[in-house]
Amino acid sequence: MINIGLVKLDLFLHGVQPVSGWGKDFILVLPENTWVAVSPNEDSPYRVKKVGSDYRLEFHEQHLPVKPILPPSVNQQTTSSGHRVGDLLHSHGGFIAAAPRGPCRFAKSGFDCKYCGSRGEPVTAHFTNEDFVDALRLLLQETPAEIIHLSSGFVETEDGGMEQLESLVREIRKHLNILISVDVMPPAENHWIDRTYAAGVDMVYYDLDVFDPVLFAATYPEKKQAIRHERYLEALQYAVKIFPGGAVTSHLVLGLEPLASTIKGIDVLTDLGVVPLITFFPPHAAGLLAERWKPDLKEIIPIYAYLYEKISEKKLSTNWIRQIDVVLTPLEGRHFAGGKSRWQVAMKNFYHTSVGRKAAYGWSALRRKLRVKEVKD
Amino acid sequence: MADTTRILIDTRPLPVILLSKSYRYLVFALLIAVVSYLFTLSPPEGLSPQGYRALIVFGLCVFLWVTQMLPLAITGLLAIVAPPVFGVLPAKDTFALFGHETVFFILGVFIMAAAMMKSGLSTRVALKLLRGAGSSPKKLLFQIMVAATLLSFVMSEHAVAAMLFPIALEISRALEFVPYGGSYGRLLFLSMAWGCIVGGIGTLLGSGRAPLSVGILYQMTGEQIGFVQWSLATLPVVIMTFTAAYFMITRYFSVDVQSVAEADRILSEKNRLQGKPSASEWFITVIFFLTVVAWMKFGTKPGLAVISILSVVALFVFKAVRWKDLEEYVNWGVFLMYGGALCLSSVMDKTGAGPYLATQVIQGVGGNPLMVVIIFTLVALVLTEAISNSAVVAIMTPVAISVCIPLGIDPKGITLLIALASGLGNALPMSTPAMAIAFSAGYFKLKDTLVPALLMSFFSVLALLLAGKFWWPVLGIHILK
Repeated sequence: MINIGLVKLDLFLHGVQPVSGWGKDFILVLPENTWVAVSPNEDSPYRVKKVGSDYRLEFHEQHLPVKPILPPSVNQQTTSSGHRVGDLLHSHGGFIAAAPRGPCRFAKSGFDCKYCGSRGEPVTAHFTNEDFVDALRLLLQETPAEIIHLSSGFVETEDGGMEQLESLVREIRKHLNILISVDVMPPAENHWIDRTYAAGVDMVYYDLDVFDPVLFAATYPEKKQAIRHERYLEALQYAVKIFPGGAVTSHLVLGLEPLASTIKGIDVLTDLGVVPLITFFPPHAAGLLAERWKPDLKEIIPIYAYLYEKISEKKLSTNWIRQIDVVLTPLEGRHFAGGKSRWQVAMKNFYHTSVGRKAAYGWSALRRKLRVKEVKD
Repeated sequence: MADTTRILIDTRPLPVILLSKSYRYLVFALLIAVVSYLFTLSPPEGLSPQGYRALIVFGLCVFLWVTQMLPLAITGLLAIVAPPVFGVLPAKDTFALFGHETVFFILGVFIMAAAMMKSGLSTRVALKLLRGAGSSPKKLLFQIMVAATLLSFVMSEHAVAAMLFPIALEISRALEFVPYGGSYGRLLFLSMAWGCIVGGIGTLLGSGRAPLSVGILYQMTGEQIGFVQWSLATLPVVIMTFTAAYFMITRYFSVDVQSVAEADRILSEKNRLQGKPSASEWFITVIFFLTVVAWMKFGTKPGLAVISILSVVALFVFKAVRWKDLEEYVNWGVFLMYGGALCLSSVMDKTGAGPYLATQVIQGVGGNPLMVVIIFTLVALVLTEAISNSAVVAIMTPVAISVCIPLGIDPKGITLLIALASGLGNALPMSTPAMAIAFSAGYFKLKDTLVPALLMSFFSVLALLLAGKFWWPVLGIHILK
């Protein structure tokens, strides 16, 4: 029996053989509604073959039915102010990503970000909130996504980057019914976390990337100086009290530290009520990571299995990290732990439907309405 | 987002938040269900269908006034529109009742008080009354009480409390008192609040509830209590309760400072900074005295309301006040509440619901007039600790007048008793606006004042009954005819 989780990880590692006319970015939907972003690779053992009107993924004398999702054609359309939709937003099918105020922290290090699609190039166009809302409206007409993910990039302000996103969040909230997540730095004061939620953010990422404090300082000296490792944990702990269960997350990037340290990070974060998101970005050939780490799926798989078990043990909700094509989600870790999680899978599939999207948005809006009070002094 | 906006996130469990936010809708739904059910029942024997419906409307308004689930003013409006909706009285009749002259008398009084506050006249008078305490702590407390009492004779007691509060706060800071740091700090605020409460019952100007009760009395019986008669009737009550309050403050609590010379210096400085009275202050003073004389002389004809409105016109003629100032200083919602209360009392009377309710109460207490008087006084005093003073008057006066007439109790007497008792709540923060303001300073807690407040309530009832028994008959008001 083919392990879908294993195929997803292996596709991250090897990509698929190029398919004529599909370009360099596309998504494959594997069985059990598992989405995976793939890159073309001439040497990949995987190839997509059309059989009748369907497609199948062939590899090592095995095959799986798949459904390709190509970049939306609306990417080429322009907003009312003349900007190309694809320049503002990056569609991942179920979720849409953007770095509205400039390259995200990953793109700043010189690579294309798989999440938000931003590049390390300086931003020449000054996009307004109206441009983003306009582009998002156009994109949602073609791709009914559940959530938009906004990255602030690395900022050294006390608000952690939220202030620059706040007006956009409010603008999106005002015009469109879509959940919003933000990837920002932990703010200096907790009231910014309150403000983040009150502005209309449904889910928050304070990405540690590296759990080990010493390696964290070595990997991100600027972050260490501006924020402190402990502040990440404090902010995450506080955010758990404010945001819905399972809606506070932090990335831990495989390969940036010993895997034992990543495991420790999973323990600490899940104890706090945070859902860790373990990202497996195979080292870029030209990157520094390639010199330090050669990924081995045999080492990686137990980490995802452990994550799934910890999430189940702590009864953390997986509803918020539903459908990400660039990361193997905690729920998808069930493929390595022998878990079924029928209820969670059913909920994930439900939230992917039109009714489910409306229910998720409505519930989230109601929760905010009940919890938030804005008091004029 | 403006910097002045604070965000609070309620982290209680969602079902708890949902319940706390939706309970009022549940209560309203229940209220509608109960009222609808009551309308399906037949009227009790001795009560017409119109009277029965009026009784339901009365019960509904009482509930809303007591619980304050709607603002008092909105319930007042409901009291005007509910009778035509339920077929008790035609709409033109209920809206006409809103135009009672009492409402316009209160309007005039409030506008004059607003002019005094805006011009700085009231602050000037307060500072004059407070000066000269020297270093004597007890004398300063006495003067605060006197200032609060005298000012509450001529303007709304809560306005006086609001005006004196910053002065008391400044004195306490000058004397370096901190909240709960000693006894004298709390006495400053308590003497201010109790002075306002005592003064507020003294004339028809000290609060809206006095004219409201006089209006209800006139509406239901055609009898009037004039400005002078009211003031004379309340004078001994004011003297007795003032004395009791002063002794309570200086004897029950300890005066734990030796000298208040610094406070005296601050008050002298404030007096000096006041400068000369402005032309507006002079105009307002003259117009006010002429108004009081006119109320005494022509209170019956052309009437208190006509005089007070003419005085307001005079204030505008001399440009002593601007309309914009009034918008800030006058509590406009109060008029809606008073209009509604007057309308409701009239509806109760005209439909026979009032007399019916009275019969039930009389049967309940065995028809003993003295017992009826005592019960109404005590209920008003207790009720006013928890709900709006004016709401107590609006709820109790129509019922009490209906009860008292068949028992031979003078309606004027019971009107006075309820109006005065409803103004003498002095224990809880919500008893009167003056107490709420005093509590807000943070210098005392409920447990500090509960016992003296209960003793004060006892003295208040005693003063009321003594005045009713020995003084009011001299003025032609015989509680028990």
